[in-house]
Amino acid sequence: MKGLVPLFIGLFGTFAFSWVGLTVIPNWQIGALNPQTDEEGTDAYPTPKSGMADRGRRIYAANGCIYCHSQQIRPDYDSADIDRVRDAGPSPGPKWAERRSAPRDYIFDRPVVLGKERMGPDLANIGKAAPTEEEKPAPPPPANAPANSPAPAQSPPANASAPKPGTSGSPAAPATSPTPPAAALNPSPAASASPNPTGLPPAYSEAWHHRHLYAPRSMSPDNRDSTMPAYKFLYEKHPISGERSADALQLEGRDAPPPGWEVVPTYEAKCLVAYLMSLDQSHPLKEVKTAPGGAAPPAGSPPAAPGGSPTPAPPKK
Amino acid sequence: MPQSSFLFAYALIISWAVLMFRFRRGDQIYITQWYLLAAFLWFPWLYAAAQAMLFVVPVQGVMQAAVSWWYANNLLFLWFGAIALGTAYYMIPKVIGRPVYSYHLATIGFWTYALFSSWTGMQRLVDGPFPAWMITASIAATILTIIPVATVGLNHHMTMQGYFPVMRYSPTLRFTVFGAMSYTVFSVLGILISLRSTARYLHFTEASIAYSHMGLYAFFTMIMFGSMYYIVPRLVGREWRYASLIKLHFWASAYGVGLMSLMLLVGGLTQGADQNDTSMTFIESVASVLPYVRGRTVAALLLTVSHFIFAFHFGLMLFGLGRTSTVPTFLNPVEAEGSEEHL
Amino acid sequence: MNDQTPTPTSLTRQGMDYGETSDVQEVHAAIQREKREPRVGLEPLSIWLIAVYGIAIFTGGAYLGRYSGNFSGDGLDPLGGPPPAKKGGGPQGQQQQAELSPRDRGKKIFAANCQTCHQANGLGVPGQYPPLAGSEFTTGGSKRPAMIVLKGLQGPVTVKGQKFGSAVMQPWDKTLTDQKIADVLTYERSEWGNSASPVTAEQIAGLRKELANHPDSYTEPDVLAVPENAELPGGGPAGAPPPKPGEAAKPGGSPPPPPKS
Repeated sequence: MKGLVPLFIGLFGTFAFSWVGLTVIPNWQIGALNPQTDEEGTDAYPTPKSGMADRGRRIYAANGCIYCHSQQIRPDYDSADIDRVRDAGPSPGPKWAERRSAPRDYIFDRPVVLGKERMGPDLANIGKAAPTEEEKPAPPPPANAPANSPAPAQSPPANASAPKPGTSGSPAAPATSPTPPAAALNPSPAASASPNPTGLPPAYSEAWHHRHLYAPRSMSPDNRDSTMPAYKFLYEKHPISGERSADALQLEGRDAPPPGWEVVPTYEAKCLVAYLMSLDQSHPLKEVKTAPGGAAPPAGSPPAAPGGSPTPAPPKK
Repeated sequence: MPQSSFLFAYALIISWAVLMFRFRRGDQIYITQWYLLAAFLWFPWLYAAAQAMLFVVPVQGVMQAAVSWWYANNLLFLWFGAIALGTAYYMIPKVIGRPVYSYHLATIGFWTYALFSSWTGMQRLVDGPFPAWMITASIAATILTIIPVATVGLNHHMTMQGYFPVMRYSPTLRFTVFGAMSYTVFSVLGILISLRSTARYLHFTEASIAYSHMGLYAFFTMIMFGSMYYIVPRLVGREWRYASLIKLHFWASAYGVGLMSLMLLVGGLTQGADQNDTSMTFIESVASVLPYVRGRTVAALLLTVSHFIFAFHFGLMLFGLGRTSTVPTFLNPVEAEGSEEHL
Repeated sequence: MNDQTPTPTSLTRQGMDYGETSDVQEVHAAIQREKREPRVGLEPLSIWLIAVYGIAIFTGGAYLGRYSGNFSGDGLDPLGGPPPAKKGGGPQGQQQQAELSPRDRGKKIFAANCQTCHQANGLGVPGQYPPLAGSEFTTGGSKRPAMIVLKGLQGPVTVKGQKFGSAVMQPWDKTLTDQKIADVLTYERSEWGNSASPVTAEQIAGLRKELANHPDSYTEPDVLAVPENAELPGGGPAGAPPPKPGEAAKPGGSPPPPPKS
């Protein structure tokens, strides 16, 4: 080739071609999306995260969670993402998703944490997997409490189809963590609440997430193969002063602190868990087909459990 | 600000290259010079475009991921790959003393490389929350990269025709040809794992790491090692001291990256197959890939050993402890008098 | 050729660099071992290579054409056809919205349309807007409230023993779809302590057809003419309780819902 000019033009041309084609045009197509609202102008989705959840997202990105966890659901014709069931918790566990991810799900994420590898499960809907108020088992009664019946599952709030713990307020202290008497810091697994035979917090609740971050391999016998690093630096171990804190982690075995000590989450840990609890992509989008399994029943029949409205319809025969 | 010193250093390097370019003899621009000039120009454009679209005027939502992958992939091909290919086009004919096989092949290879490799990148986002056409465009471009791969591979192969035995003696040639062959293997692998039907099993697994490592190590780094084995003696005026260390470096690197790629590919396949099998729990897919990841650790140890060997050897050269000789260091003793002509 | 190694001073006096040698053989050996700079041959292209190019271009192009969805920003599915209509088009949009339970949807519709008058707690405003909580109209059979919502109500009306009549309830048949009316009725009939059966869109559709020729706006006598527990036909599987025996057939003469044992 003689001449620098044709070379330069060619170099610039090929570069510009790829730049325009792969970044500028897609940006023009999907780079200015707005949240979807329905006809009344209500029910906007997605909404920007605020407060602790937003900070939690930055902690998520800063701790490299993206290197093992993805946050995108692939469609059902090319993967089993939608139908895959979460491991923890009583079976059948919640599915990973109702539908695939769409660009509109991520418009308020900066940085966007799609992830490219799954050494750990996908987290796009991990907030939705959290148990609703009705599902949380009754806390086992404290050993030295008088015979007050433990608070039953709270009467369901009017619209509890999925829990949406206040992301801007402090995370709800795990309503079900028992307050064991000071002597028994390792509650025996045989607590009275039978959905919790292993002594773990309810699957995918905030307490569960805290314990998972602190000691990933303690979650259940099946989790020993987990390669997740223990994020102990997000937690604080200090002596119990007076009464055990409400948000102290329930730990067992080797992970448990010595008697008289407790492990509490730092503010960063709480933000991170608030972020995880806010991850929910199940809201339907017009541009995405919902998977057949999640198709709605015709209006009029009572919504399927869980968390449906307490429509006292006559029992199905 | 660290970025300004980085850009200043880059400007210095480029200005030197541009000066050398300006005062070259002859009016023909040699192949290596196309590739190097291209790399030197593409990199700042690429960097500036990515900085602009990610930080200065940030794009929204998933476009950040698209721009990131466009940038990362183009960095691999338009910066690292271009430098490596240009270097190979210099080292191979220089060491064996034969001309490059075909000018036409070189031209076609260069321009199709520029055109198609720059359009890849989005296949790493296959089935993600993106319009299907941009993913498919990248997959189609990956398929089309068979053109530059076949062209460049053929060119190198025909140049080397009859001279493969020289690899027995020359460290430069050994590393460079290994790298050039790896380019073919890595590209074919890239095509295979990008197709949607295979990406179904290999996405989100270790296999994409295998692909990245093959590109950056087996292709780029090995060619760079070859070029260092060529350049350093001419800079310090000494020859490499221990042929055995060079051989050790080569074999440890070659086996290391080969083992790593194999482990991660097979591991990625099992991981992907298990991830897509809903009758298995997720943790079982992790458990199935763990042995391969441990094998990859062994491979990484091999690579570490080889790098320490090279660092030590290079250190010797830096401190002027190389061999003083007019004859370069050969990896194996040259047997007959007559065969010296090849070298 | 010198046998002695030249001393540094003697070398530099000769203008040579430190470490440089004046030994001609040595100097030339370093140069001689260098091969000439690379040059390029001019072999022509092989026809087989051009065939490979052709196959590659064809494959790549075919892949691009086949799997690009519709080249639009909405086309997430590579095999997808034209994108769905922007506003989620009628039933399809409804289907996708139906991930929320009918009660949830109804709650939103209520909040957007009914709450201003009937209040969020369903107690209405005394003297002006009748309550829905515990109202015999809302909680009885599904036909009466459906008629009211569809066609509106005006004139004096007594609800839970209180009189209302100063306000007029507008007809909603033109503003709300069948699904929405069904949802909001479902919500009303299960909220604030009400516990009546839900209502389906099919039921509303049937009623709408039935009332197609009816002028707008009922009055209380019209509504009271309909039996209190008249259910709309076509309730869902857990829908309408069986009609009490002896109830008058509904004006449309539709068959009673399948009896539940």
